Amino acid sequence: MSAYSQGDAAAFDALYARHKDSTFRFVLRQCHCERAIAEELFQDLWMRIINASRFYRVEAKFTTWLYRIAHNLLVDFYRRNGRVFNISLDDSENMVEEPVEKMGAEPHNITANQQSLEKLQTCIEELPIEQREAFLLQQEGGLSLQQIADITGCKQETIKSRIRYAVKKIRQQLSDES
Amino acid sequence: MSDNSQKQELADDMQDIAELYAASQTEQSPADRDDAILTAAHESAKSRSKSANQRRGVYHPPLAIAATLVLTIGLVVLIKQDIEQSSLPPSIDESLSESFSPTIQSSQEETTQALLDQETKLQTSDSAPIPAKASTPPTIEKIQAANSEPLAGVASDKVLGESMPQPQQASSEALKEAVQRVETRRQDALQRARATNTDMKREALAQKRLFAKKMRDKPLAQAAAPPTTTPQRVIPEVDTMPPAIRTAQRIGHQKGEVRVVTDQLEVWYDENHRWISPEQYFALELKRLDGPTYGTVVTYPAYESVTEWETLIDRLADGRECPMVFFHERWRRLPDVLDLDERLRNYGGCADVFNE
Repeated sequence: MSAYSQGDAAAFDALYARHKDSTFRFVLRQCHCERAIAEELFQDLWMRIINASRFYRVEAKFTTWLYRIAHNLLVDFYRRNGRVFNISLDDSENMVEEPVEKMGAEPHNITANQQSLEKLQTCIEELPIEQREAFLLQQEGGLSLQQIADITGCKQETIKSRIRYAVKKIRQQLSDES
Repeated sequence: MSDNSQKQELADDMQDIAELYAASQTEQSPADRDDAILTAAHESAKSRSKSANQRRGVYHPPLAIAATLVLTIGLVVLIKQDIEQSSLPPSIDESLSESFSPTIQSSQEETTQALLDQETKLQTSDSAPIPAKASTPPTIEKIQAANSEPLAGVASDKVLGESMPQPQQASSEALKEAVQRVETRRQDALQRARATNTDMKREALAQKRLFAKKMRDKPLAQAAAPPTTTPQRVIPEVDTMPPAIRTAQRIGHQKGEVRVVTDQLEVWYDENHRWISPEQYFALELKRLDGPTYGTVVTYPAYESVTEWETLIDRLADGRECPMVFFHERWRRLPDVLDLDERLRNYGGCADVFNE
């Protein structure tokens, strides 16, 4: 990004090739909207990256910066459309962590067939926004709990709980279907 | 628990889900969007490097012109000062102690030298041995003694510009006349030099008395000023100061100075030399920054869309307002950034702008 901010267009090509698909999927899943709108948002995200590259400073990982802008873009999108981040009842900061065994189906018992893949998409779409965002940031961005916490402005423990509950719900639904 | 161990624990918990998710994610960004984004990025990079070059190009000529002007003006001022210094009459002390004496001495020396030259030429024309350069002028007797020897040429005619019909006798008489004339001229020159010396001394003395009188008459502060006849360089301190500081010194107020008049704060605005209300002051400062960029707002614009030195007026819930400026990647209170008086920093909504 530093190279691009100094006018190296090839640096941007490499950066874009590395992150375009993951950011597109993040926006597509997280906006909970039509594909065309998601594409618009995706393009808007990268235009913001291009415009803001002049002010980019190497203070954090580029991925963190990228997904923070994506997060802000989606927050703006929700506000424009009269939607707000809903704090789900099971997502308080004080919630007690349950042991993994009690959180639903046992690990490694879900097989990757076509049906379960389609079902997974539906499960993710049905997650509360905050849980979905935390889950997607981890899966698509490969970000750590701390990085996700920095992006969303939450505590690390909250992010951890959100991801746990997201996984629990997904696993539960997949198990029910199977 | 450390971040890594937490991450590992979480990863173990959701390994199957993560694998399933990775297998399900086949969507790719649309090709037309890719093209549009990459085109925009390339154009931005191109324009950025171009504008950087232009900026360099734009700044170079004015810088060169400014540097040339500064050098030229500096040289002109120096030369002018040197000329003024050299054209000024010497100081009284110098004139009394040194200046006049060398003048007289040099004029005397010049006169004496001229006479000696003439006499030497005359002697040479009479084939007399050339006397060593004497410190005192030769006397008439010496010249007459020299003239007793036979004349060899007419070189003296050329010197005196007169014809001599009888070679020996005539030349002797002409020589006497010439010597007398030279002697007369010498006496005249000496008299003139003495007179000039006396006049100059008198004039210098008069100037000194006049200056002493002025010094006695003037108040103490003014008396410290150097006399007009002294060719000292006066450093123009006031002229070299920036106009704003000079104005502030003249008027006695500084920009942003605060006073309380009938329980109302007033701020000194230097540009129009007036005391104005803090609201007016903030408005003028915002205008100076081409603002307020986002007008009066309740909600701040997205960070990504804001650039440095953009401004807005933050309206609090109770209607109070505070001018804000985006400075060093944060929204800050304008009076803080401008380093204004503490009372202005907490004026109106600025006192609670960070509490909401």
